Amino acid sequence: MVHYKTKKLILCSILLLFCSVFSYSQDSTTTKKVYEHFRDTRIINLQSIESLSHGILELKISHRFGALSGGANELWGLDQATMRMAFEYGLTSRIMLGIGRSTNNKMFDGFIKANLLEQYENGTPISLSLFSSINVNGVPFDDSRTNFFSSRLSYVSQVILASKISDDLTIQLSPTVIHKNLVELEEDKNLSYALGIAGKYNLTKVLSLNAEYIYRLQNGVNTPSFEDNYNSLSVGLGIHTKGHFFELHLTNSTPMYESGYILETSDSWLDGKIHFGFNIVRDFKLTKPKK
Amino acid sequence: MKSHKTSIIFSLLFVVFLIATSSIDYINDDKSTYVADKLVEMGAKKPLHYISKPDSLEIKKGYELVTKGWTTHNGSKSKFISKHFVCTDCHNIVQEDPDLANPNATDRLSYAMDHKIPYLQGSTLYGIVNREHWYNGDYDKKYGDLVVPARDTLVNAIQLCAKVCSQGRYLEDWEATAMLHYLNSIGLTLADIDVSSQDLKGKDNAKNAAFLTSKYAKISPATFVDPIPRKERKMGKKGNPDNGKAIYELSCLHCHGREKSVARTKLDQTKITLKYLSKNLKNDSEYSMYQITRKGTYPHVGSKPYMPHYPLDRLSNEQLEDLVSYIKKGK
Repeated sequence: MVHYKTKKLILCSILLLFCSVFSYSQDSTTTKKVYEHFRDTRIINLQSIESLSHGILELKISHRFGALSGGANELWGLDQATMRMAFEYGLTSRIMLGIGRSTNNKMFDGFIKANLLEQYENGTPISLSLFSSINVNGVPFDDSRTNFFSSRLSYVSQVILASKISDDLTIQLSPTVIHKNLVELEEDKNLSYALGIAGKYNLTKVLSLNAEYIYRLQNGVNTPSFEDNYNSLSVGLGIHTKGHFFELHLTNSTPMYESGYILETSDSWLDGKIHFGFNIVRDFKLTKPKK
Repeated sequence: MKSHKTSIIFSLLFVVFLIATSSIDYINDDKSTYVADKLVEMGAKKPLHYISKPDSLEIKKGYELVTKGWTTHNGSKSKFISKHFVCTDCHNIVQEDPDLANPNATDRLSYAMDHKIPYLQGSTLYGIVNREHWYNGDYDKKYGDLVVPARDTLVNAIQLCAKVCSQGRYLEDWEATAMLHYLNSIGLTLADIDVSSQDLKGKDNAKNAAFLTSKYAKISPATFVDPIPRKERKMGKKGNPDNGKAIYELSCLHCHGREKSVARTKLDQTKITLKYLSKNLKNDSEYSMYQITRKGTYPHVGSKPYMPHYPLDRLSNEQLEDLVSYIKKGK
C-alpha cells in the first residue's frame, strides 16, 4: 500500500507537470484550436473537459439501474432505477453552470466549470479546466440528534486536464479533492482525494467508446467508509445524433453526483455488481453570443 | 531673347503639367464613382433603395447588422435579427465573380480559391443594390408567393430574408435604413466594371447608361435542380479533388466547421468524418451529398436552423462530383 503522503506527492507532481504547459507560447494565428475532445460535458459520470458554448442550455437526464446480476426476475436491474435530472448552461464560451437533482439521497448539486487553457495543433498540447461543485443531501434528518444544514453539504473540486492525442483518441486526468462536512463515522476523514482517468475513442462519426476509472487515494489509515466502497469504473458507448447525445454504459456506480460516484460506490465489478445506465442529452440554443 | 524663349517654354511645360495632373486626379476620382450615382446622373430613375451619399454612422450600423446580426442604436445593443443566422453565413460582402456580366459557378470557384473567400449558396451583397430583381428564377419553388413582393424591391427582399431565410424577425425601420446605407456603400463602382470617363465620352446618356448596365448582371441566376439520379452519379470518378477540397473548405466548413456556431452537424477533415460522408453517397437520405446540396433541409418546430440548398448556378454538377471525389479520396 503506497503511503498517503507519497500519493499526495504523486498527485501534486502530476498537477505541476501539466502546469508546465503554461510555458508554451501560444501563437493562435498560425495554429488551429483542437475541438471536441469529448462528445459531451460528461464522459459517463466524470466531468469532461468540454464546456457548453455561450447561450446553450442543455437538459441532461441520467438513469442507473439495479445490478445485472439481479437476473430475469428483476429484468436485469431495470426494475430498480435511479435518476438524475440536470440543466446546464453556457454562461460564456469558457464558463458553464449546472444544477441537478438525483433520486439517490435526494441530492441537489450545483456546479461551475471554467476552461482556462485550450489545446492547439502544434501548440499547447492540453486543455485545462477547473470544476467545483456543491452537493446538498436532501434526505430528512434523524431527529434524535442535533442537526445543522451545513451537515448536508459536500464540496468537490477538480482540475481537468485533457489531450486529444489523435483525431479519434482523447485522454483525460482529473485530480479531485472532496470535502464532506459530515461523515458517517468518527474515523472517517472529511477530506478525500481521488484521481479520475478517462478516455474516448471514436469508432465512427456517430459512435464513440468511452471509459473512466476513478482511483481513490487513501487518506491516512484505513477507514470503514473507504474499505466498504470501491473505485468507480464505467465503460460506455456514445451515440451522437443531430439533436441528442446518448451514452449507454455499464458501471459499478449508481450515484450520479460527484461526491457519490467518487466516494460512495458500494458495488464492485469483481462481485458481478454491474449496473446498466444511460445519459440522454438535448441542447437548446437560447441566445447567440454578442461579440 | 534666349531667356525670353526659355521662360515661354517653361511656362508652357508648367501649363501642360497642370492639365495632366488635374486630368489624372479626375480619372482617379471617376473610377471610384458608384455606378448607381453615374446612372442617376445620366437621368436613370432612382431605385427605391438608392442612397446618394451613405452616412458613415449608418454604414457602420448596417455593417454590424449584416455581419453580427445586431448593433448599437441610441446607446443600447439591439436584439438579434435572428439567433440562428447572420447575413454573412450565406452571403459574401465582397466581389465574388471575376466577370460581373457573366456570373457562373466555374469562374466563381476559381475566383474564391484565388482570393480565399467563402463559396456560398447566396449571391454576394456586394453590388446587390445594382441588381434589378431579387428572389428571381426558381425561388418561387421554395418560397411560393412570399417572393412576389420581394422580387422588385430590395427592402422587401431583405425583410423576407430576415424573417424566413434567417428564421428571425422583420427588421425595424431604422435597421432597414442602416442596412441600405451599408449596401449602397458596397455598390459597384466604375472601377469594378472597368469603365472610365473616357469610355463614356462622345455618347449620349441613354447609350452610356446601356453601356454601363451591360457590364454587370442585373439578376443573380437561380436554377433549382433535383439531385442527380442514383444511376447517373459518377461517385467522384473523374472529379477534381483539389476543387473538391476547396469547395469543402470554402463552402461546407463555412457553416459546419467546428469553430462555427451556425450548424448543429459539425464537420472537419478527419478520416472518420470523410468516411461518414462517403458512406451515404449512394442513398437519398439527407446525409448524402448528392441529396443535401440540391435539397437542403427545412426548419421545423424545435429545430429552426436549416441548411439552404445550392442552386445549379452556385454549385454545378461538375463541382458536386469534384466535392464527392475529395470526400472519397479521404484525408
